[in-house]
Amino acid sequence: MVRDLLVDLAREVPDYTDAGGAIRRYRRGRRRRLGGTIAAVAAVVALVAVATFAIRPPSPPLVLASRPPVLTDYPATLTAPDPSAVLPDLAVPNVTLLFDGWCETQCRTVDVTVGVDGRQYDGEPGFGEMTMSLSPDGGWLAVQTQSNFLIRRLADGYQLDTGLFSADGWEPLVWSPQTRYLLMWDGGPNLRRIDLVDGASVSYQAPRDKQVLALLPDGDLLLSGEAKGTEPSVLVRVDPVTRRQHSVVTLHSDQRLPPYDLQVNDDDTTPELVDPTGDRIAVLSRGGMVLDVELATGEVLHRHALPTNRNHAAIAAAYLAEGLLLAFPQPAGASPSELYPGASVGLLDLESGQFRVLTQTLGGRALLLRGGDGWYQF
Amino acid sequence: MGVDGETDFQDFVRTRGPALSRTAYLLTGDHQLAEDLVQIALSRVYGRWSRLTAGGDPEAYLRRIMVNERTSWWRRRRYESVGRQSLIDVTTVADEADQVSRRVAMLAALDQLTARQRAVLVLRYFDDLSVDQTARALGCSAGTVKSNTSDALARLRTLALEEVS
Repeated sequence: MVRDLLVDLAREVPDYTDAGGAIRRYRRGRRRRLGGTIAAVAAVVALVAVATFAIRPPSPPLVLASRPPVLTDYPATLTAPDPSAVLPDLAVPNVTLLFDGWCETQCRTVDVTVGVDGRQYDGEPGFGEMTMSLSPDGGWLAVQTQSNFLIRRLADGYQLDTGLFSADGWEPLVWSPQTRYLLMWDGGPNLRRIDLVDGASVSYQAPRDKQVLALLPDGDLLLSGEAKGTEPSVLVRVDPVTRRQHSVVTLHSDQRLPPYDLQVNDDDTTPELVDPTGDRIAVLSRGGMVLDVELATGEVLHRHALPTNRNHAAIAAAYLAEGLLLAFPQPAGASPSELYPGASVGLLDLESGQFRVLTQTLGGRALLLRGGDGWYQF
Repeated sequence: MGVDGETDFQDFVRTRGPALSRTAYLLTGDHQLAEDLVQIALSRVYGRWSRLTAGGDPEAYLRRIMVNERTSWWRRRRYESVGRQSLIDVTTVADEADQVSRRVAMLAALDQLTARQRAVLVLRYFDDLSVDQTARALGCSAGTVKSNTSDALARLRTLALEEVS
Protein backbone atom coordinates (compact mmCIF):
# COMPACT_ATOMS: atom_id res chain seq x y z
CA MET A 1 0.00 0.00 0.00
CA VAL A 2 2.73 2.45 0.99
CA ARG A 3 4.87 1.50 -1.99
CA ASP A 4 1.90 1.90 -4.34
CA LEU A 5 1.08 5.24 -2.81
CA LEU A 6 4.62 6.56 -3.24
CA VAL A 7 4.94 5.29 -6.79
CA ASP A 8 1.61 6.82 -7.64
CA LEU A 9 2.60 10.13 -6.08
CA ALA A 10 5.87 10.32 -7.97
CA ARG A 11 4.47 9.29 -11.34
CA GLU A 12 3.98 12.79 -12.73
CA VAL A 13 7.04 14.40 -11.20
CA PRO A 14 9.16 16.17 -13.81
CA ASP A 15 12.93 16.22 -13.84
CA TYR A 16 13.90 19.24 -11.76
CA THR A 17 17.60 18.83 -12.11
CA ASP A 18 19.78 21.32 -13.94
CA ALA A 19 23.46 20.45 -13.91
CA GLY A 20 24.48 23.86 -15.25
CA GLY A 21 22.39 25.58 -12.60
CA ALA A 22 23.96 23.51 -9.86
CA ILE A 23 27.45 24.34 -11.11
CA ARG A 24 26.64 28.04 -11.33
CA ARG A 25 25.19 27.93 -7.87
CA TYR A 26 28.35 26.34 -6.51
CA ARG A 27 30.54 28.92 -8.23
CA ARG A 28 28.47 31.81 -6.97
CA GLY A 29 28.98 30.46 -3.47
CA ARG A 30 32.73 30.33 -4.00
CA ARG A 31 32.85 33.91 -5.25
CA ARG A 32 30.84 35.06 -2.29
CA ARG A 33 33.17 33.22 0.01
CA LEU A 34 36.23 34.81 -1.48
CA GLY A 35 34.82 38.28 -1.77
CA GLY A 36 31.81 39.57 0.04
CA THR A 37 31.82 37.18 2.92
CA ILE A 38 34.38 39.19 4.86
CA ALA A 39 31.99 42.07 5.20
CA ALA A 40 29.11 39.75 5.95
CA VAL A 41 31.01 37.94 8.66
CA ALA A 42 32.12 41.26 10.12
CA ALA A 43 28.50 42.25 10.35
CA VAL A 44 27.61 38.93 11.91
CA VAL A 45 30.41 39.23 14.41
CA ALA A 46 29.45 42.73 15.39
CA LEU A 47 25.83 41.84 15.68
CA VAL A 48 26.33 38.71 17.68
CA ALA A 49 28.81 40.52 19.86
CA VAL A 50 25.93 42.76 20.81
CA ALA A 51 23.90 39.71 21.66
CA THR A 52 26.80 38.11 23.49
CA PHE A 53 27.38 41.03 25.76
CA ALA A 54 23.76 41.82 26.22
CA ILE A 55 22.57 38.39 27.28
CA ARG A 56 25.07 37.94 30.11
CA PRO A 57 23.70 34.95 31.95
CA PRO A 58 24.80 34.56 35.54
CA SER A 59 25.94 31.05 34.66
CA PRO A 60 27.50 29.30 32.80
CA PRO A 61 30.64 31.38 32.41
CA LEU A 62 31.15 33.04 29.08
CA VAL A 63 34.04 31.84 26.99
CA LEU A 64 35.44 35.21 26.06
CA ALA A 65 38.95 36.44 25.47
CA SER A 66 40.28 39.21 27.64
CA ARG A 67 40.12 41.65 24.77
CA PRO A 68 36.62 43.02 24.23
CA PRO A 69 34.93 42.49 20.88
CA VAL A 70 35.71 44.98 18.20
CA LEU A 71 32.41 46.50 17.33
CA THR A 72 32.05 47.85 13.85
CA ASP A 73 29.56 50.50 12.91
CA TYR A 74 26.89 47.87 12.59
CA PRO A 75 24.65 49.06 15.42
CA ALA A 76 24.65 52.49 13.84
CA THR A 77 23.01 51.09 10.75
CA LEU A 78 20.09 49.70 12.66
CA THR A 79 16.75 51.28 12.15
CA ALA A 80 13.91 50.68 14.50
CA PRO A 81 10.30 50.28 13.44
CA ASP A 82 9.44 52.85 16.09
CA PRO A 83 11.27 56.09 15.21
CA SER A 84 11.50 57.07 18.84
CA ALA A 85 13.15 53.81 19.77
CA VAL A 86 16.85 53.86 20.31
CA LEU A 87 18.90 50.72 20.34
CA PRO A 88 19.62 50.13 24.00
CA ASP A 89 23.12 49.86 25.23
CA LEU A 90 24.87 46.61 25.92
CA ALA A 91 23.49 46.30 29.42
CA VAL A 92 20.12 45.22 28.08
CA PRO A 93 19.56 41.75 29.45
CA ASN A 94 17.84 39.87 26.68
CA VAL A 95 18.64 40.03 23.03
CA THR A 96 17.66 37.66 20.29
CA LEU A 97 19.52 37.65 17.04
CA LEU A 98 17.33 37.22 14.03
CA PHE A 99 17.68 37.25 10.33
CA ASP A 100 15.13 37.25 7.61
CA GLY A 101 14.16 33.82 6.57
CA TRP A 102 12.28 32.87 3.49
CA CYS A 103 15.20 32.68 1.17
CA GLU A 104 16.73 29.35 1.83
CA THR A 105 17.53 28.81 -1.79
CA GLN A 106 17.07 32.06 -3.66
CA CYS A 107 18.20 35.08 -1.73
CA ARG A 108 21.81 36.08 -1.66
CA THR A 109 21.70 38.37 1.35
CA VAL A 110 19.10 38.68 4.02
CA ASP A 111 18.03 41.32 6.45
CA VAL A 112 19.28 41.23 9.99
CA THR A 113 17.22 42.08 12.98
CA VAL A 114 18.06 42.40 16.62
CA GLY A 115 15.16 41.89 18.94
CA VAL A 116 15.60 43.58 22.29
CA ASP A 117 13.02 43.04 24.97
CA GLY A 118 10.16 42.83 22.56
CA ARG A 119 11.33 45.57 20.18
CA GLN A 120 12.95 44.86 16.88
CA TYR A 121 15.72 46.74 15.17
CA ASP A 122 16.40 46.10 11.53
CA GLY A 123 19.82 46.23 9.99
CA GLU A 124 21.28 46.41 6.53
CA PRO A 125 21.43 43.21 4.50
CA GLY A 126 24.45 41.34 5.58
CA PHE A 127 24.20 37.62 5.79
CA GLY A 128 24.96 35.43 2.88
CA GLU A 129 23.20 32.18 2.41
CA MET A 130 24.56 30.34 5.38
CA THR A 131 23.54 27.99 8.09
CA MET A 132 24.48 29.29 11.46
CA SER A 133 24.35 28.26 15.06
CA LEU A 134 25.06 30.28 18.18
CA SER A 135 26.75 28.58 21.13
CA PRO A 136 24.98 28.25 24.49
CA ASP A 137 27.21 30.93 26.01
CA GLY A 138 26.72 33.20 23.02
CA GLY A 139 30.47 33.37 22.50
CA TRP A 140 30.88 31.26 19.36
CA LEU A 141 29.18 31.23 16.01
CA ALA A 142 29.21 28.20 13.73
CA VAL A 143 28.82 29.08 10.07
CA GLN A 144 28.38 26.64 7.25
CA THR A 145 30.06 27.84 4.11
CA GLN A 146 30.06 26.14 0.75
CA SER A 147 33.10 24.17 1.85
CA ASN A 148 33.34 23.58 5.58
CA PHE A 149 31.81 24.50 8.87
CA LEU A 150 33.78 27.30 10.47
CA ILE A 151 33.56 27.98 14.19
CA ARG A 152 34.31 31.57 15.07
CA ARG A 153 35.00 32.94 18.51
CA LEU A 154 33.27 36.27 18.55
CA ALA A 155 35.42 37.95 21.14
CA ASP A 156 38.63 37.94 19.15
CA GLY A 157 37.80 36.54 15.75
CA TYR A 158 39.71 33.29 16.30
CA GLN A 159 38.43 30.83 13.74
CA LEU A 160 38.47 27.07 13.76
CA ASP A 161 37.95 25.24 10.51
CA THR A 162 36.31 21.95 11.43
CA GLY A 163 37.26 20.43 8.09
CA LEU A 164 33.75 19.05 8.05
CA PHE A 165 31.47 19.86 5.21
CA SER A 166 28.15 18.97 6.63
CA ALA A 167 26.55 17.74 9.77
CA ASP A 168 24.21 15.03 10.79
CA GLY A 169 20.47 15.30 10.95
CA TRP A 170 21.28 17.36 14.00
CA GLU A 171 22.05 20.09 11.61
CA PRO A 172 24.28 21.85 11.85
CA LEU A 173 25.72 20.53 15.09
CA VAL A 174 25.33 20.05 18.79
CA TRP A 175 27.06 22.15 21.42
CA SER A 176 27.94 20.86 24.85
CA PRO A 177 26.12 22.87 27.51
CA GLN A 178 29.11 24.98 28.52
CA THR A 179 30.37 25.43 24.97
CA ARG A 180 33.49 23.37 25.40
CA TYR A 181 32.70 20.77 22.73
CA LEU A 182 30.89 20.34 19.45
CA LEU A 183 29.51 17.18 17.95
CA MET A 184 29.20 16.91 14.19
CA TRP A 185 28.86 14.35 11.45
CA ASP A 186 32.13 13.64 9.69
CA GLY A 187 30.58 12.81 6.33
CA GLY A 188 30.99 9.10 6.89
CA PRO A 189 29.71 6.70 9.49
CA ASN A 190 31.17 8.58 12.43
CA LEU A 191 30.41 11.52 14.60
CA ARG A 192 33.26 13.89 15.36
CA ARG A 193 33.67 15.60 18.71
CA ILE A 194 35.66 18.81 18.54
CA ASP A 195 37.29 20.45 21.55
CA LEU A 196 37.01 24.20 21.16
CA VAL A 197 39.86 24.82 23.58
CA ASP A 198 42.59 23.09 21.62
CA GLY A 199 40.85 22.15 18.38
CA ALA A 200 41.40 18.45 19.00
CA SER A 201 38.85 16.13 17.49
CA VAL A 202 37.91 12.53 18.06
CA SER A 203 35.77 10.28 15.90
CA TYR A 204 33.14 8.08 17.40
CA GLN A 205 30.73 5.55 15.98
CA ALA A 206 27.90 4.49 18.19
CA PRO A 207 27.20 0.77 18.58
CA ARG A 208 24.63 -0.50 16.11
CA ASP A 209 21.94 -0.82 18.74
CA LYS A 210 22.49 2.61 20.27
CA GLN A 211 21.83 6.23 19.37
CA VAL A 212 23.74 9.23 20.61
CA LEU A 213 21.26 11.09 22.72
CA ALA A 214 23.24 14.06 24.02
CA LEU A 215 26.66 15.66 24.43
CA LEU A 216 27.49 16.28 28.07
CA PRO A 217 29.54 19.17 29.49
CA ASP A 218 32.66 17.06 30.03
CA GLY A 219 32.56 15.71 26.49
CA ASP A 220 31.02 12.37 27.32
CA LEU A 221 28.24 11.12 25.10
CA LEU A 222 24.92 9.92 26.36
CA LEU A 223 23.65 6.93 24.41
CA SER A 224 20.32 5.24 24.51
CA GLY A 225 19.03 1.95 23.29
CA GLU A 226 15.61 1.24 22.00
CA ALA A 227 12.87 0.71 24.58
CA LYS A 228 9.54 -0.76 23.64
CA GLY A 229 6.35 -0.65 25.60
CA THR A 230 6.99 -0.96 29.30
CA GLU A 231 10.68 -1.71 28.90
CA PRO A 232 12.90 0.71 30.79
CA SER A 233 14.97 3.19 28.81
CA VAL A 234 18.64 2.61 29.47
CA LEU A 235 20.91 5.61 29.09
CA VAL A 236 24.64 4.94 28.89
CA ARG A 237 27.38 7.49 29.43
CA VAL A 238 30.48 6.91 27.27
CA ASP A 239 33.84 8.62 26.85
CA PRO A 240 34.30 8.84 23.06
CA VAL A 241 38.11 8.86 23.41
CA THR A 242 38.55 5.72 25.48
CA ARG A 243 35.17 4.18 24.58
CA ARG A 244 34.81 3.49 28.26
CA GLN A 245 31.35 3.30 29.67
CA HIS A 246 31.06 5.45 32.77
CA SER A 247 27.59 4.84 34.05
CA VAL A 248 24.20 3.51 33.21
CA VAL A 249 20.94 5.21 34.06
CA THR A 250 17.60 3.51 33.87
CA LEU A 251 14.50 5.50 33.18
CA HIS A 252 11.59 3.31 34.16
CA SER A 253 8.47 3.11 32.12
CA ASP A 254 6.24 4.46 34.88
CA GLN A 255 8.22 7.69 34.59
CA ARG A 256 7.82 8.07 30.89
CA LEU A 257 4.75 6.29 29.60
CA PRO A 258 1.28 7.88 29.36
CA PRO A 259 0.05 10.33 30.43
CA TYR A 260 3.47 11.81 29.70
CA ASP A 261 3.94 9.85 26.50
CA LEU A 262 7.68 10.19 26.72
CA GLN A 263 9.55 8.43 23.99
CA VAL A 264 13.24 8.75 24.71
CA ASN A 265 15.09 9.28 21.47
CA ASP A 266 11.81 9.32 19.60
CA ASP A 267 13.29 11.58 16.93
CA ASP A 268 16.97 10.92 16.56
CA THR A 269 17.46 14.15 14.66
CA THR A 270 16.75 16.04 17.86
CA PRO A 271 19.22 15.66 20.69
CA GLU A 272 17.99 15.93 24.22
CA LEU A 273 18.90 19.14 26.02
CA VAL A 274 21.43 18.99 28.83
CA ASP A 275 21.59 21.52 31.65
CA PRO A 276 24.86 23.44 32.19
CA THR A 277 25.97 21.18 35.02
CA GLY A 278 25.34 18.00 33.10
CA ASP A 279 23.21 16.68 35.94
CA ARG A 280 19.87 16.87 34.15
CA ILE A 281 18.40 16.46 30.72
CA ALA A 282 15.19 17.94 29.42
CA VAL A 283 13.26 15.46 27.32
CA LEU A 284 10.39 16.64 25.18
CA SER A 285 7.46 14.31 24.87
CA ARG A 286 5.01 13.90 22.02
CA GLY A 287 2.26 15.22 24.20
CA GLY A 288 3.78 18.67 24.45
CA MET A 289 5.32 18.01 27.83
CA VAL A 290 8.87 18.55 28.98
CA LEU A 291 10.34 16.22 31.57
CA ASP A 292 13.31 17.35 33.63
CA VAL A 293 15.27 14.15 34.30
CA GLU A 294 18.05 13.72 36.83
CA LEU A 295 20.80 11.77 35.13
CA ALA A 296 22.25 10.21 38.26
CA THR A 297 19.04 8.46 39.20
CA GLY A 298 16.77 8.59 36.17
CA GLU A 299 14.16 10.30 38.32
CA VAL A 300 11.81 12.75 36.66
CA LEU A 301 12.15 15.88 38.77
CA HIS A 302 9.69 18.15 37.03
CA ARG A 303 6.97 17.84 34.42
CA HIS A 304 5.53 20.83 32.65
CA ALA A 305 3.36 21.49 29.65
CA LEU A 306 5.10 23.48 26.99
CA PRO A 307 3.55 26.76 25.84
CA THR A 308 1.54 26.12 22.75
CA ASN A 309 -0.33 27.86 20.03
CA ARG A 310 -2.59 26.26 17.46
CA ASN A 311 -1.74 22.90 18.95
CA HIS A 312 1.92 23.34 18.17
CA ALA A 313 4.26 22.95 21.10
CA ALA A 314 7.28 25.13 21.46
CA ILE A 315 10.70 24.43 20.03
CA ALA A 316 13.26 24.07 22.79
CA ALA A 317 16.66 25.38 21.77
CA ALA A 318 18.74 25.00 24.90
CA TYR A 319 18.69 24.19 28.59
CA LEU A 320 20.31 27.31 30.00
CA ALA A 321 21.01 28.18 33.60
CA GLU A 322 18.09 30.60 33.42
CA GLY A 323 15.71 27.94 32.16
CA LEU A 324 14.65 26.25 28.98
CA LEU A 325 15.00 28.60 26.00
CA LEU A 326 11.85 28.20 23.92
CA ALA A 327 10.27 29.61 20.82
CA PHE A 328 6.72 29.09 19.61
CA PRO A 329 4.30 30.71 17.17
CA GLN A 330 2.49 33.84 18.14
CA PRO A 331 -1.28 33.72 18.28
CA ALA A 332 -3.08 34.22 15.01
CA GLY A 333 -3.51 37.82 14.01
CA ALA A 334 -0.69 39.11 16.16
CA SER A 335 1.58 39.66 13.19
CA PRO A 336 1.19 41.02 9.67
CA SER A 337 1.22 37.67 8.01
CA GLU A 338 -1.26 34.91 8.63
CA LEU A 339 0.95 32.46 6.81
CA TYR A 340 3.96 33.10 8.96
CA PRO A 341 2.66 34.24 12.28
CA GLY A 342 5.94 35.03 13.98
CA ALA A 343 7.21 33.69 17.24
CA SER A 344 7.49 34.33 20.91
CA VAL A 345 10.83 33.59 22.49
CA GLY A 346 11.18 33.06 26.18
CA LEU A 347 12.42 31.05 29.13
CA LEU A 348 10.58 28.27 30.91
CA ASP A 349 11.59 27.99 34.54
CA LEU A 350 11.71 24.25 35.09
CA GLU A 351 11.34 24.62 38.86
CA SER A 352 8.11 26.59 38.75
CA GLY A 353 6.82 25.98 35.25
CA GLN A 354 6.52 29.73 34.69
CA PHE A 355 7.18 30.97 31.16
CA ARG A 356 8.63 34.45 30.63
CA VAL A 357 8.56 36.03 27.19
CA LEU A 358 11.84 37.64 26.15
CA THR A 359 10.94 38.90 22.73
CA GLN A 360 8.48 38.48 19.91
CA THR A 361 9.31 38.32 16.25
CA LEU A 362 7.57 39.16 13.03
CA GLY A 363 6.45 36.42 10.71
CA GLY A 364 9.00 35.10 8.28
CA ARG A 365 11.90 35.84 10.57
CA ALA A 366 14.44 33.24 11.46
CA LEU A 367 15.81 33.04 14.95
CA LEU A 368 19.28 32.25 16.05
CA LEU A 369 18.92 31.16 19.64
CA ARG A 370 21.70 30.45 22.07
CA GLY A 371 22.51 26.76 22.11
CA GLY A 372 20.22 25.89 19.24
CA ASP A 373 21.49 23.37 16.75
CA GLY A 374 20.67 25.66 13.85
CA TRP A 375 18.30 28.46 13.18
CA TYR A 376 14.56 28.37 13.54
CA GLN A 377 11.86 29.72 11.38
CA PHE A 378 8.22 30.53 11.97
CA MET B 1 37.53 20.65 -11.32
CA GLY B 2 38.63 19.72 -14.81
CA VAL B 3 36.57 19.44 -17.95
CA ASP B 4 36.34 15.68 -17.55
CA GLY B 5 34.98 16.03 -14.04
CA GLU B 6 32.40 18.56 -15.11
CA THR B 7 31.30 16.38 -18.01
CA ASP B 8 31.10 13.42 -15.70
CA PHE B 9 28.96 15.41 -13.29
CA GLN B 10 26.63 16.51 -16.08
CA ASP B 11 26.30 12.93 -17.27
CA PHE B 12 25.42 11.85 -13.76
CA VAL B 13 22.74 14.51 -13.47
CA ARG B 14 21.32 13.64 -16.88
CA THR B 15 21.15 9.95 -15.98
CA ARG B 16 19.97 10.14 -12.40
CA GLY B 17 18.11 13.45 -12.46
CA PRO B 18 14.59 12.04 -12.94
CA ALA B 19 14.99 9.53 -10.11
CA LEU B 20 16.51 12.11 -7.79
CA SER B 21 13.68 14.51 -8.63
CA ARG B 22 11.08 11.93 -7.70
CA THR B 23 12.80 11.22 -4.41
CA ALA B 24 13.03 14.94 -3.69
CA TYR B 25 9.34 15.35 -4.37
CA LEU B 26 8.39 12.49 -2.10
CA LEU B 27 10.60 13.89 0.64
CA THR B 28 9.01 17.34 0.43
CA GLY B 29 5.54 16.87 -1.05
CA ASP B 30 5.98 20.14 -2.88
CA HIS B 31 7.26 20.76 -6.40
CA GLN B 32 9.05 24.02 -5.64
CA LEU B 33 10.69 22.67 -2.52
CA ALA B 34 11.68 19.52 -4.36
CA GLU B 35 13.38 21.52 -7.09
CA ASP B 36 15.21 23.59 -4.48
CA LEU B 37 16.19 20.50 -2.56
CA VAL B 38 17.67 18.59 -5.45
CA GLN B 39 19.51 21.63 -6.82
CA ILE B 40 21.03 22.44 -3.42
CA ALA B 41 22.19 18.88 -3.06
CA LEU B 42 23.68 18.83 -6.55
CA SER B 43 25.58 22.08 -6.01
CA ARG B 44 27.08 20.69 -2.82
CA VAL B 45 28.00 17.43 -4.47
CA TYR B 46 29.58 19.23 -7.41
CA GLY B 47 32.05 20.94 -5.10
CA ARG B 48 33.34 17.56 -4.00
CA TRP B 49 32.74 15.61 -7.16
CA SER B 50 36.26 14.38 -7.77
CA ARG B 51 36.63 13.13 -4.20
CA LEU B 52 33.22 11.50 -4.20
CA THR B 53 33.68 9.68 -7.47
CA ALA B 54 37.12 8.51 -6.39
CA GLY B 55 35.99 7.36 -3.00
CA GLY B 56 32.64 5.79 -3.50
CA ASP B 57 29.08 6.37 -4.49
CA PRO B 58 28.17 10.01 -5.09
CA GLU B 59 24.49 9.21 -5.29
CA ALA B 60 24.45 7.86 -1.76
CA TYR B 61 26.13 11.03 -0.54
CA LEU B 62 23.71 13.16 -2.51
CA ARG B 63 20.76 11.28 -1.11
CA ARG B 64 22.04 11.85 2.39
CA ILE B 65 22.41 15.57 1.74
CA MET B 66 18.83 15.68 0.49
CA VAL B 67 17.52 13.86 3.54
CA ASN B 68 19.52 15.98 5.95
CA GLU B 69 18.57 19.19 4.23
CA ARG B 70 14.93 18.21 4.19
CA THR B 71 15.06 17.24 7.85
CA SER B 72 16.68 20.54 8.60
CA TRP B 73 13.95 22.42 6.73
CA TRP B 74 11.34 20.48 8.60
CA ARG B 75 12.89 21.36 11.91
CA ARG B 76 13.25 25.02 10.98
CA ARG B 77 9.74 25.15 9.63
CA ARG B 78 8.09 22.94 12.14
CA TYR B 79 5.04 25.09 11.84
CA GLU B 80 4.79 25.03 8.08
CA SER B 81 1.41 23.39 8.35
CA VAL B 82 0.15 26.70 9.68
CA GLY B 83 -1.24 28.22 6.52
CA ARG B 84 0.51 25.86 4.20
CA GLN B 85 -1.73 23.87 1.97
CA SER B 86 -1.52 20.19 2.54
CA LEU B 87 -0.71 17.85 -0.30
CA ILE B 88 -4.37 17.48 -1.02
CA ASP B 89 -7.31 19.13 0.63
CA VAL B 90 -9.20 16.23 2.09
CA THR B 91 -12.48 18.11 2.30
CA THR B 92 -12.64 18.72 -1.43
CA VAL B 93 -12.87 15.06 -2.16
CA ALA B 94 -14.92 13.91 0.78
CA ASP B 95 -17.80 12.86 -1.44
CA GLU B 96 -15.80 10.80 -3.85
CA ALA B 97 -15.52 7.07 -3.81
CA ASP B 98 -14.19 5.31 -0.74
CA GLN B 99 -11.11 4.11 -2.50
CA VAL B 100 -10.14 7.61 -3.50
CA SER B 101 -10.90 8.87 -0.03
CA ARG B 102 -8.65 6.29 1.51
CA ARG B 103 -5.85 7.24 -0.81
CA VAL B 104 -6.33 10.91 -0.07
CA ALA B 105 -6.35 10.15 3.63
CA MET B 106 -3.08 8.31 3.22
CA LEU B 107 -1.58 11.27 1.41
CA ALA B 108 -2.70 13.68 4.10
CA ALA B 109 -1.33 11.35 6.74
CA LEU B 110 1.98 11.10 4.91
CA ASP B 111 2.21 14.87 5.03
CA GLN B 112 1.94 14.80 8.80
CA LEU B 113 4.85 12.47 9.44
CA THR B 114 8.10 13.89 10.69
CA ALA B 115 10.76 14.46 8.09
CA ARG B 116 12.75 11.50 9.36
CA GLN B 117 9.77 9.16 9.32
CA ARG B 118 8.87 10.27 5.82
CA ALA B 119 12.45 9.82 4.66
CA VAL B 120 12.56 6.28 5.97
CA LEU B 121 9.45 5.35 4.05
CA VAL B 122 10.63 7.02 0.84
CA LEU B 123 14.07 5.45 0.93
CA ARG B 124 12.87 1.99 1.81
CA TYR B 125 9.63 1.70 -0.15
CA PHE B 126 10.24 3.98 -3.11
CA ASP B 127 13.99 3.93 -3.65
CA ASP B 128 14.04 0.29 -2.58
CA LEU B 129 17.09 0.71 -0.38
CA SER B 130 17.94 -2.04 2.03
CA VAL B 131 17.91 -1.42 5.75
CA ASP B 132 21.68 -0.97 5.75
CA GLN B 133 21.63 1.37 2.77
CA THR B 134 18.88 3.40 4.38
CA ALA B 135 20.88 3.53 7.58
CA ARG B 136 23.87 4.90 5.69
CA ALA B 137 21.71 7.48 3.94
CA LEU B 138 20.21 8.60 7.22
CA GLY B 139 23.39 8.38 9.25
CA CYS B 140 21.92 6.06 11.84
CA SER B 141 21.99 2.42 12.80
CA ALA B 142 20.11 -0.35 11.05
CA GLY B 143 18.15 -0.90 14.25
CA THR B 144 17.02 2.70 14.19
CA VAL B 145 15.90 2.34 10.60
CA LYS B 146 13.80 -0.65 11.58
CA SER B 147 12.24 1.09 14.54
CA ASN B 148 11.69 4.29 12.54
CA THR B 149 10.03 2.29 9.80
CA SER B 150 7.80 0.57 12.27
CA ASP B 151 6.91 3.85 13.96
CA ALA B 152 6.29 5.57 10.64
CA LEU B 153 3.99 2.84 9.39
CA ALA B 154 2.09 2.76 12.67
CA ARG B 155 1.71 6.49 12.70
CA LEU B 156 0.69 6.54 9.07
CA ARG B 157 -1.97 3.97 9.84
CA THR B 158 -3.30 5.94 12.79
CA LEU B 159 -3.29 9.24 10.95
CA ALA B 160 -4.95 7.74 7.91
CA LEU B 161 -7.72 6.29 10.06
CA GLU B 162 -8.23 9.67 11.69
CA GLU B 163 -8.45 11.33 8.28
CA VAL B 164 -11.00 8.82 7.09
CA SER B 165 -13.12 9.14 10.21
